[in-house]
Amino acid sequence: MNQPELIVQLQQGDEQAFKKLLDEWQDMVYNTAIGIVQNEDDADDITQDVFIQVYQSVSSFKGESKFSTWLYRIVISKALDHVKRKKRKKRFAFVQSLFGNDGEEIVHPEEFNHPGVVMENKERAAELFKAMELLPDNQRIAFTLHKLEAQKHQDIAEIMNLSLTAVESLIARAKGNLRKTLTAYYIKNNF
Amino acid sequence: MNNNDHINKLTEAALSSLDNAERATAKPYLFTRLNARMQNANESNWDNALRFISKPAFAFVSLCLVVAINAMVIAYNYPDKTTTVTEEQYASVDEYSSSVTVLNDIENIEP
Repeated sequence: MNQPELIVQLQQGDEQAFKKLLDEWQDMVYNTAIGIVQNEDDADDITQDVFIQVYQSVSSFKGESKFSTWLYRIVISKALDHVKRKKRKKRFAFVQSLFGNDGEEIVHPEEFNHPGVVMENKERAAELFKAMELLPDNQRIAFTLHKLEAQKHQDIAEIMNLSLTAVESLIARAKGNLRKTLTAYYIKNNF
Repeated sequence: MNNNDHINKLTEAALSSLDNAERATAKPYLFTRLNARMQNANESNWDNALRFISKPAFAFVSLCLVVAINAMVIAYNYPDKTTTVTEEQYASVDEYSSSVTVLNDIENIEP
């Protein structure tokens, strides 16, 4: 079954087509989400949210862009929403802690280890992920799609609705910012 | 200088640490979990609706609404008979010199 056929069947509410869609795209959705939110459970929640939205709104997919582009856009939007919500919660928790937090402990997340990174690179990748958290959203998205999803610059441009030069510039700036953050980190920690 | 080189090397190594990283794989049984979640969402919608309907406030407001609608229907279908007397009615009264006599008027003693 090719992709347009699959989409037509999905639009007709075919359960088998939905299963096939999951088999084909679930890892891509999960991997993109985990790259942005840097937490396995949150990435799993986002993956579920994404597929529920796909199931509910596939009828609105007109085929003007590639299906993968449409899917990437949904994942990115959900993941960024999640990050924003988490930041808001963190800020609120800080304010609460100023007034006393009723014995409730604020959990500080451990460093994030991407499950696909080889053992010898785990520590460096964790430092890189920490630095990625400080990037502006658009640089972070472009860098994540480029590094974790091995997307070509042209495809990233399509997903982010930007020109090719804009994406190249975003990735270059992201690398520059990461270099600065990592250098400062290594100097500070006497590596 | 050596230290700078060392730090640059570390930085570059960190930057390229995600090269050739494998895709993280989603947790198993995603379809089953999605199914369960969608079913729960549907059920909870019904639960919410039932909970809302069974509230006393909802029953009271509904009752008031029914009473108000009934009152409006009655008022519309049976307009008040003691209200305005039109000019036409006055004219016909004058024309026929009709007057209303009240039988039990105690001041009216004429035969």
